[in-house]
Amino acid sequence: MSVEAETALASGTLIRVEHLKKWFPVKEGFAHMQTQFLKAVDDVSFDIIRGETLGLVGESGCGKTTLGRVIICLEKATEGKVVFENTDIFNLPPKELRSFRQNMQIVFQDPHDSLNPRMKVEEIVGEPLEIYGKMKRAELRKRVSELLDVVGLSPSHARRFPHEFSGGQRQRIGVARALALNPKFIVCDEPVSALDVSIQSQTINLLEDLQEEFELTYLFISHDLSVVKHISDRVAVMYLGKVVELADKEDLYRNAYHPYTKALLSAVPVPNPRLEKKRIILEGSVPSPMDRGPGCCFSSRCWLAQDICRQEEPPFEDCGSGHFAACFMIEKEEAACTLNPDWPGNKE
Amino acid sequence: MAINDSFWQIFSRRKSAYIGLFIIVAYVVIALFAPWIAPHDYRAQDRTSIMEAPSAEYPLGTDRVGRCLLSRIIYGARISLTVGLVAVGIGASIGLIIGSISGYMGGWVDRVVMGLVDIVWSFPTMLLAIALTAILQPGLHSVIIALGLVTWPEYARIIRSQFLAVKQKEFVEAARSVGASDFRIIRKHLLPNSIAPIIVVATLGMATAVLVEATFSYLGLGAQPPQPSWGSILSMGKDFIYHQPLMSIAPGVAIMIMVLGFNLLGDAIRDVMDPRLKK
Repeated sequence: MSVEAETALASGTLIRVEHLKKWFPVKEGFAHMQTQFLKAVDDVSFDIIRGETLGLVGESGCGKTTLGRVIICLEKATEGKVVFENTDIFNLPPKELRSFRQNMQIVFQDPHDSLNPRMKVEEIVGEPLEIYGKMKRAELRKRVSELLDVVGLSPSHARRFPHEFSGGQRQRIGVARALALNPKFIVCDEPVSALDVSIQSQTINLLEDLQEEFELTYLFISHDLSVVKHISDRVAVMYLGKVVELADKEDLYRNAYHPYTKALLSAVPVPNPRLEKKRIILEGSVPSPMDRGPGCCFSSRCWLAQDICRQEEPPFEDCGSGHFAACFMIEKEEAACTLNPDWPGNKE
Repeated sequence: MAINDSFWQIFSRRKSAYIGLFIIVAYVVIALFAPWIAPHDYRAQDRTSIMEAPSAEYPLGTDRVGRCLLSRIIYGARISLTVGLVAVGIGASIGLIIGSISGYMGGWVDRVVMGLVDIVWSFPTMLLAIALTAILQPGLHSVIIALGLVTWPEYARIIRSQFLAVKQKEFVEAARSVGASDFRIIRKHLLPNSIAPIIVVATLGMATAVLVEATFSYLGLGAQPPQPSWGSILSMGKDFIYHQPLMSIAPGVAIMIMVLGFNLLGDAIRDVMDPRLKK
């Protein structure tokens, strides 16, 4: 593992996540004597390729937001490492980390919570510039106007307070702040789930335009499979703190390997009333992330689970052409058929 | 703090703000120019007119050693204003610093600080203040320092609980992700969003401080004769309340109006600082 870290990343790779864990201690029992751990992110490894949008999907509480925040060092990882362009960012001294942060930014979910209500737009968007660039006031103003222009707001908005804007506009302010330092990588943490559908598409289009203009790499976190399908190049599926499958978008949506992914995709509504879909309904509920027992994280609800699934953890492996999955029961042919709407079995 | 060009616009939309401001400014003017406003020296004893009813010479009458009551109340504004502002200033500053550290750092620092707060609070406030005053030598400055040292836990608690709530907001995360230092996060993001309840409590605290000073003066631990504190005038007056009720009523009304002024002003300042209340 240590050898890997010292090797330079492949030229296309921007970020390598290696065996990343984030366990939150939970005190329990008499006088808080026992400490259990909530395994929000549990041994996750993957690469993020320069210039791509990596979608990260999963249900509420599966750890996707935590994963995004750990990658950009907003939370301290329990174990593992993140290599960003050959820099092991968890080992940076605090001062260097602070200056390294300009490479990676985040757009938050709730545009009402992510802007300080006591600051003007100018101060919000200008804050990163004030911290890093020793800019003169006039220069800073000019840069803020540019940024507002880039995200489709008017420079005259600079003197207003956040509460004077709509949700979509506020999200644009958040994007402008994230762009201020010319980052290479932006974590979009459910950036559109708090917005109206009509505003969602505008915001998505804005993010896509910005990606092209500034050569950005996104980690796009969402629980909305259709949004992820639209914006992503590759998609990672998370369940109970684990990434269970990662593949090219087309590949994943047509030919999912992991049973959880299949179940998830079968829940996507299809805008065609004639097409009957076989919906996979999972039994039971998500086990507690504190104590999920040995074996595969999905074994308690999986209809394919065998003894081995309950005893051993399946490795997260490349099953060919960059399609990663963690499952012992991968039957590629069956997988190919289940989600293909043209497959006779799906029409019944 | 969002005090900016539209400060006066919002401020001026509120009548009560004007009233509060007017009262406090009036008190400050009276306190500053007491020697010119007061008809007599507050120490001058007129042996020929003791315990007299109001007259042209003595608009509020005289006390039991023949001193002009109005003059004493006018000079008393100096003492009360000083006590209110300085005692609250000390208490709020200590509370703000300690509470900020406690709320921001969390963990064991928070537990230690909150333990300290509980210890200070477990003493009856009055008793602790009296003990401190006794140690520090009786006098106004001791009352002020004692009040500051006794009241800070309240401010610390409030600012801490505010910090705990505001710390969770995403804009604080956002600031951290753009590399803001701890100090900057506290100064720019946490304090401006936490200060409003402190202002309200501080204005109420000034009112309390004026009253506590009155009690201390009555006990002989505060203003020393012949210093004309409203509290000492009031407590002296209570012995003669049937003969000379003005001696108790006049300083009481002076205290009441000052407290009202602080409260109205405090409300107005709180609203001005909240940009969401702007049109």
